[in-house]
Amino acid sequence: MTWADRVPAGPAPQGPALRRLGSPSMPLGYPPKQAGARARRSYLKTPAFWMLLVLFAVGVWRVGEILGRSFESYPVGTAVSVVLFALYAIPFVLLLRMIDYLEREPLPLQATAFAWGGLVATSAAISGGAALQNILAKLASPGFATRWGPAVAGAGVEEILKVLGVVAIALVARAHVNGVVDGFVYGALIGLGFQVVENVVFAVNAVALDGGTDQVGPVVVTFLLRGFLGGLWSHTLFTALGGAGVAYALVRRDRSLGTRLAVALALFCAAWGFHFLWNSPLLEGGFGHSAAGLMAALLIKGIPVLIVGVTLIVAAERRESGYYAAMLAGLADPRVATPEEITALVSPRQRIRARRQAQVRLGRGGARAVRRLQRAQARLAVALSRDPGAEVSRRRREVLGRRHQLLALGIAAAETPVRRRPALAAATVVVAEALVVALLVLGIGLAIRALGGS
Amino acid sequence: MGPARARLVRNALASLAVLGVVALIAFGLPLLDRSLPAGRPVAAGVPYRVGGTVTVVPPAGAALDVAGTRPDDDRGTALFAVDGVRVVLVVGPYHGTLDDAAARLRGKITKTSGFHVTPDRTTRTDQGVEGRRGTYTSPGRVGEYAVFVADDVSVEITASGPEHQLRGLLPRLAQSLRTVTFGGGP
Repeated sequence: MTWADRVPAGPAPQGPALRRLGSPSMPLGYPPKQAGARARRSYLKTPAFWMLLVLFAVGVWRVGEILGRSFESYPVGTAVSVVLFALYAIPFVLLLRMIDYLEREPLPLQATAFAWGGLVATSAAISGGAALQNILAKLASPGFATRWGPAVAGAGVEEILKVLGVVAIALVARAHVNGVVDGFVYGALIGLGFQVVENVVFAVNAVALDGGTDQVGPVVVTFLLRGFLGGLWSHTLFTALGGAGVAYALVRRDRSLGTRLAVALALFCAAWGFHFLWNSPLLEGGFGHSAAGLMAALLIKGIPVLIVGVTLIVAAERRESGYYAAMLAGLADPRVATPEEITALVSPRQRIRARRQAQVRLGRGGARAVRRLQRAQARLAVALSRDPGAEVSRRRREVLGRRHQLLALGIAAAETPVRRRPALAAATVVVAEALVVALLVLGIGLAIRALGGS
Repeated sequence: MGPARARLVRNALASLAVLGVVALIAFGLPLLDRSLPAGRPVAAGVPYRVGGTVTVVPPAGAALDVAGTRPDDDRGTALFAVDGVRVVLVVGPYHGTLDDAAARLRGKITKTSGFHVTPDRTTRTDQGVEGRRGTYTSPGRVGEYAVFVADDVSVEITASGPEHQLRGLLPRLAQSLRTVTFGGGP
């Protein structure tokens, strides 16, 4: 069956699509988003925007001062740690883009979230966290501050500072926080910014503690420890939970204020609790100090937040994708999106499968064309949810354009045999995947050795 | 007040609240920390556990600064204040030689701009552990440093303060250095 066979002729949409669809059954948020330039102008008028500018200026100065001193004392160690942790952030960003596929947040707001975590939250947490640990030492004892300070001060101070970033983004661009997924994504980006800058500072501290000579070894050990053993269930995930709570309180107007606040508080407490557990001395020695025992303790501390985070985002995404799928299905126009395409569009796994199938049949060009069609369909679904006017028409034309490109490829492919991935290429992929897994295991093993496990 | 103006006022109030919480954490907590006294008297002649199993008898008249003290199972830091002089002990795992440890400590000191170290000399604790001891100078202050290595653990000691106060403390400091004990803690 060719792509042309899969696209039966259907009626073109008549008039603004939303008018025909009526009110969506599951509104995601309020109010509708504004178009680019108008939205940018409205940001400038909010006091929150100027508050952000002030806080960013202070954050740049304070973090810049710290990094400046680090570069002065340990130029190689600092440069390597900045590069390593910047690269480390890339898979997280790609994962968040996959989560945030249907209704992508604007890049400036994504950058704002990252910068809040890396500049504002980090710089405030450095002084506030240290002070709180000192207060614990004064009110309890230095021993108590050593053991419980990172848990009390780390979780308390840092989670508050990070979740405030989601609140700040909602104050600046309320229209761009219109679903729980949005809060999750902004929160995750804030956590990621925090994680990257904090890890760089930790890596440079490790260099200073390890003899004070400018070397890469302590940076690599910090990268393995904080990147592999602690990084998967760290700030990114903690703040994603808190951010989802803020978004829930803002957008779920179908629930009572009490319920919304209770859910937001519960998710913040979950973020705080998981962070507290992770930083606490509980199970710090692992089970019997062996590598396996240490790993088991780390998993016991880390897996629960991963389960809660994944469960939350799957539920939130299901709700969001159901909403946008209804938007596209309401058009009842298979030239825009067939029912199969809509089903594939709202599922990350099926989106990728559709591209792979197109690659097998039509080559890389086919996969690219399907990816572009899917992206255009997602943009149309979002446009349908916001503005029934010119934007919908523009996005619909974009979808039809992408459809024509795909059809043209399909017709060309129908005249040539189906392409199959050569055995050598398939074997290369398997070997590469095995190498990645081996490197991961090696990294974790090295990190455990550095932690003191045998 | 129109709805647009009301929205603006709400936004301003909420922004101030966010700003207030950030400022409270970044500046309020350090202020509160500074307002609480950090000094604690230490019992004269009684060994104090710095970290791991390393103990020291602090110089007579010393007070423990709890803000700069963090004892842990395999490492630790202790900060004592005595007659205007700050005495810092840092304990941590170490697998090198005594000479390397001394070079490392000298490196840390001279990393700070304006600090200069003098050649060190051999010293010894009452337990018989050999160490290195020397002096350093910085603008307006002078300091003493010492380092000991035993059982894969290093102890770095620095004492700094105004010159005449440090000189007055030297006999008590030397006595305290001799009391550094490995394996003396829990």
